[in-house]
Amino acid sequence: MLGGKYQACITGVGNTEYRKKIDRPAEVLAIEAALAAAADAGIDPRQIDGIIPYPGHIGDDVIQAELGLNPRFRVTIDMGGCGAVSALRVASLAVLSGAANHVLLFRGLKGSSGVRKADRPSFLPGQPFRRHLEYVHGMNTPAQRYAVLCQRYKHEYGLDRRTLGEIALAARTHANLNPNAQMHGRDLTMEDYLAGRMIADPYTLFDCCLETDGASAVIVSARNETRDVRILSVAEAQGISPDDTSNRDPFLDIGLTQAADRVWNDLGMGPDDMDAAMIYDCFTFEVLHQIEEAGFARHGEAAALIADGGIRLGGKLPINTHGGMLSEAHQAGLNHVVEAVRQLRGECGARQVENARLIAVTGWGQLGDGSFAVLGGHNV
Amino acid sequence: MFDLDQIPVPDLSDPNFVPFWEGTREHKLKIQRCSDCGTYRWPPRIACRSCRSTNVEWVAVEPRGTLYTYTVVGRPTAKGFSSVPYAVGFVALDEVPHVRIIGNIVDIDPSAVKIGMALEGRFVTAGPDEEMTLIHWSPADNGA
Repeated sequence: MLGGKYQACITGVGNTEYRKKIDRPAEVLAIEAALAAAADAGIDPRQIDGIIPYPGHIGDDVIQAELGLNPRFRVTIDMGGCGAVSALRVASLAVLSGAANHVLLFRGLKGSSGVRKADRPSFLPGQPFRRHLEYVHGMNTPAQRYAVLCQRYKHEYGLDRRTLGEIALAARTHANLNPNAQMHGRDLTMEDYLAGRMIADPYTLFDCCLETDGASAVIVSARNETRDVRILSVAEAQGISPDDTSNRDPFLDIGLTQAADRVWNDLGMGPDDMDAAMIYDCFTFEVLHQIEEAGFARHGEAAALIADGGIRLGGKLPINTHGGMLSEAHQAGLNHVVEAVRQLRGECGARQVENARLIAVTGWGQLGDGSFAVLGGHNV
Repeated sequence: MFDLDQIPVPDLSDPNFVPFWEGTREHKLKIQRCSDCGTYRWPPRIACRSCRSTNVEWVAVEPRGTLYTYTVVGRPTAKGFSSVPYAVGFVALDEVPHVRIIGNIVDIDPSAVKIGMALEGRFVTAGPDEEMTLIHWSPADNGA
């Protein structure tokens, strides 16, 4: 049980600049972000005694050696973009059990200037299914794999392209209030959105998240001071068949469906208690999909929440106030955790959610693995 | 429209897929059925999700179905698929509607592809040495 009297806290967050091309290697960026998070937590980096890296990218060995750490706790979480929020859970368990005092989560990515996604090794589960069933039919990217979810949703419930457009526009509007966002200062209109080139129908260019050079880091500690942000509850789950989406029934079932349910039950809270949500936005439809699966709207009804500024700052449920992966940066979801923490500490300036006390954060990875956390400030 | 000879050939000796690829070579669509409880399953698995049995048989089913969902790929990303747009989707089989087969939808303008359309399988050899036979799906009333 991660709620109640015993709570782990996020004590430090840090990141580098987010850009299309940064000359420094990913390892250097990760170290910069890790040191920034330690400084933010007010600890000596050598006090970091636990590490959860992002598998398939920079290993804990590099960070451990470069920073001269001697971790008592190290683990990888093989859940892709679901891993950032899942790592909050594992780190909480570690610090609450006494296995570690300060656990470092980090991402250091050359997502934009490095190898293109389709040419990178795949870490998806069910590799034989990918090779025997998908690659032979020209299906090999996340955009294609998730586009089929969106098409089915559209068939069952109806979906206007302008609803997806508003998700992209809201993200961009928020990014324009965030000087560190990769897309800061680049306006996006509905006309621009609708004219985007086709990637995988219905996904066009602006439905797809960014690829980013940059790094981010989060420290979870056995500490509960006024400035620290409490991990009130966190859970994770997988879709019915974590290695295959084609024969899933119900087809739109994802891990978040169960994970969010567990957190709401654990806390005795519900979607209406949240002041904002940071939703893993690999593509626009995945935001809408997760809004429904986390309970922020009923199935088929998310469009009504999204319309009329409902997910923008000042709306009923501000979503991704940093700009998300669509317009701030691709940090495989760790930037969503960083933003939630800054919002709860009231540090977000022009994009601050007034009196933010409780924020939900989702993770989405692999073929729909899901994670869900509710973070709370000390003003709750 | 596809570069059939450039499509990467998976390991055709993978025991979990051998009966499938042998079937397509004979222009048959074969899927798994649990020998104990009779549950059809796809993609091929070692154990039955309903009864946990590992006893399995492969049965031929009619390569006919309806389109459950799809996408039209607009930006080339996969080897053998340099020419866009093309459609790829999940086909729910008429005989076993809960089984969905991934495949390309052909013989139709990709912009005309619609969920619910009736499709039938066509067997097409592919790979550098034509070592595998793929199933493509055409509109059922189009030359059927």
